[in-house]
Amino acid sequence: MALLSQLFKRPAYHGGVEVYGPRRPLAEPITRIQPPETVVIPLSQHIGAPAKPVVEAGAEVEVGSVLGEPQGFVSTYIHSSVKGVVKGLVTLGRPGGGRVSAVEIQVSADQPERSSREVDWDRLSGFTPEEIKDKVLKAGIVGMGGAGFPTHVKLSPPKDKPIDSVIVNACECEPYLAADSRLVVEAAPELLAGLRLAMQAVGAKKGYIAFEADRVEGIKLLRQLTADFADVEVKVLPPKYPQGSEKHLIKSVLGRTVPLGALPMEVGALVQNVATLISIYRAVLYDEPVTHRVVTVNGGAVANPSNFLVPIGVPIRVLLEAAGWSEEDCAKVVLGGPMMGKTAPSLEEPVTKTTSGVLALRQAELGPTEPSPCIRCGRCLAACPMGLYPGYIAEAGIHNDLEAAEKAGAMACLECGCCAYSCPGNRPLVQEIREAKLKIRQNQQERKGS
Amino acid sequence: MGVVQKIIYAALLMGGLGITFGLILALVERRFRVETDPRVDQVEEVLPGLNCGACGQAGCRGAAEAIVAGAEVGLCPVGGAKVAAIIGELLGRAAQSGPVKKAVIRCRPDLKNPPIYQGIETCLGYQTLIGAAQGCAYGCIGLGDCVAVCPVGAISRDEEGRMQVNEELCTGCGLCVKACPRSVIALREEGEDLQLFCLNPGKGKEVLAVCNSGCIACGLCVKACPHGAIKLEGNLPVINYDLCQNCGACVRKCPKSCLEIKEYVAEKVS
Repeated sequence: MALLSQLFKRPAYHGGVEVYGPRRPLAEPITRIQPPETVVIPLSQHIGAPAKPVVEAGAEVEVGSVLGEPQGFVSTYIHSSVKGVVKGLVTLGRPGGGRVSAVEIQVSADQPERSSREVDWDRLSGFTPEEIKDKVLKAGIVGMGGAGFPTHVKLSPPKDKPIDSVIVNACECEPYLAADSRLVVEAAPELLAGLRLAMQAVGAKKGYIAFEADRVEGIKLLRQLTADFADVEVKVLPPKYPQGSEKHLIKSVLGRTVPLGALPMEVGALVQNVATLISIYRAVLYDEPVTHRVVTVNGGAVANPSNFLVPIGVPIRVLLEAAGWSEEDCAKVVLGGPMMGKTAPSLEEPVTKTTSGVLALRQAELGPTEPSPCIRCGRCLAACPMGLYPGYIAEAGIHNDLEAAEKAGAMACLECGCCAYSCPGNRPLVQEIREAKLKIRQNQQERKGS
Repeated sequence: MGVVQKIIYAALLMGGLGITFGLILALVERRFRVETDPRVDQVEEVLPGLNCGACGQAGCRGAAEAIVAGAEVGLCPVGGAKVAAIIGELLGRAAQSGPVKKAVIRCRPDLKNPPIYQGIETCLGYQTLIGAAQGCAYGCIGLGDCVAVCPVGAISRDEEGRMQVNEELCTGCGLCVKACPRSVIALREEGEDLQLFCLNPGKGKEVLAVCNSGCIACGLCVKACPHGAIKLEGNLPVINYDLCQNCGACVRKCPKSCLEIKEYVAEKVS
């Protein structure tokens, strides 16, 4: 009954859409992927400065050996995900025109087993905030939900912005994906321990675990496990996209509104993704860096939708083959979710710390791409979770009226895709707004420069 | 009252009102007139009237005001030397404009495996989604952001999908240079006839892998030049125009035909 009433309660924020996708592989256990002969580990898998390479060709590396060191505060370590020999540095071209260096490693035949970590509750409270942050940085932990913001930065709010609540983002609102939802079920104690450490690091009094209502198994399990904790609460939210967006999650869970252009710490909140918290636990107690991540492989062209535990740097081709994909049926391979994910430039694209899913989509799933004129129906307006008028901003952007686009709030756009999803004319609103944002930013820089 | 009478009354009333308001307006215009420099109007008349904003002012009226207030007479890049000279005469100031530059699109792409792109048809959109991940990361995208921005319609796409500049029309305003997300377009001066049509700084093998018409850094042009005007820098030839005699020896030797002597065409004077 509680669940039902939660379901029908008015959602806390305006807009958003209900996205219908195929079944998520929620019940499929996480299986390990063995690395192929070579892996390519990019030195920039996070927001901020890329890591500086510290290995040379011919160096022997173990699982967890440091490959790159951070340059600056907003940057982090990169580790080897396999045992093997470094072949050298390669350059990967990125969408947007940038290039990143990557370390190519020849994988040796004998790979060590990944140990499971029993939770040692007694040891948790012995760590000071400084110790936790230091270990998080050394382990190269970044926001594994997709943004890739270095976690040690997030755990270091300025003194005048105290954080009272830590929210575990177990919403995974993008359709098709189930990596986090499955991880919650398989590693619930580790998740709780990670939450405890994050609360300790920032001095938060309260912890929340936020689920979308259809993750029944995870909700039940976490309710049982947190029954004894007075300071941790399970929150069940209506399944609605983009429930997992940081600002919207804070609004739904705490009822606080993060001001435009500000960070969640402004309202005393810290949001961490499931995989990130589990990494924090493993890093702090066992000094284990981020070398693997759970990736959902799904989509119409995949025979067995699965969740895989993948060493970082494995090309996505290996995952697609492991899930039994049909290359002929596949029209597009997407990295991440279908709403915000990006088309994979090639099948050799390596899995990074932020790759939550690999989707092989059939043509029918892509929908029509030919746009028709805007008929002013206002569905984008109703769908926008930021309360913007996407159609207007996109139009202003096309006509280079950047002042109007900026005034209409273009810079507040999350690029979540709700507008384009609900547009009956298939207008590429997100891309148009993204372009307007780029031009506005360019202008701002020019103005600053002159 | 008859119908005719009604019409007459209505006409008289409206006419009377018109005359009264006209008189009021005329009086107000006389009484509260804001004095403007008549030269601003004259200068505005001379300017091209495209309101393109290339000068950095809000339209041609803004540019005219700025010029009269003391900005350089050659402020309008679209109008070029011609307009600068007329304005100079009007204001009694010498035009200090340099030689007119012409836009040159320094790539003629012939990609081996053109990436599949289904997004919106702008170069910027292509750059954000594909960028350096597929194909050549340095060359012309060909979706025409420069065509859209050119205020005089000097850039067009030829049959092979390559961008061409009509130098008779180009005024060297530089809007296309700013609009190109890959900085493929540059401005060249008179005398810079020999042009290189490739920007990929990759080694020969890397360029060959993506493009049929890219510079492979073979260095034949360097050897062919009898005047020593060409040097290889970062896998691309760099031309020293002080030494170049436009003899064409390098053009004939280039195996990828990415060097060409393009004669500088002066602006058509109308």
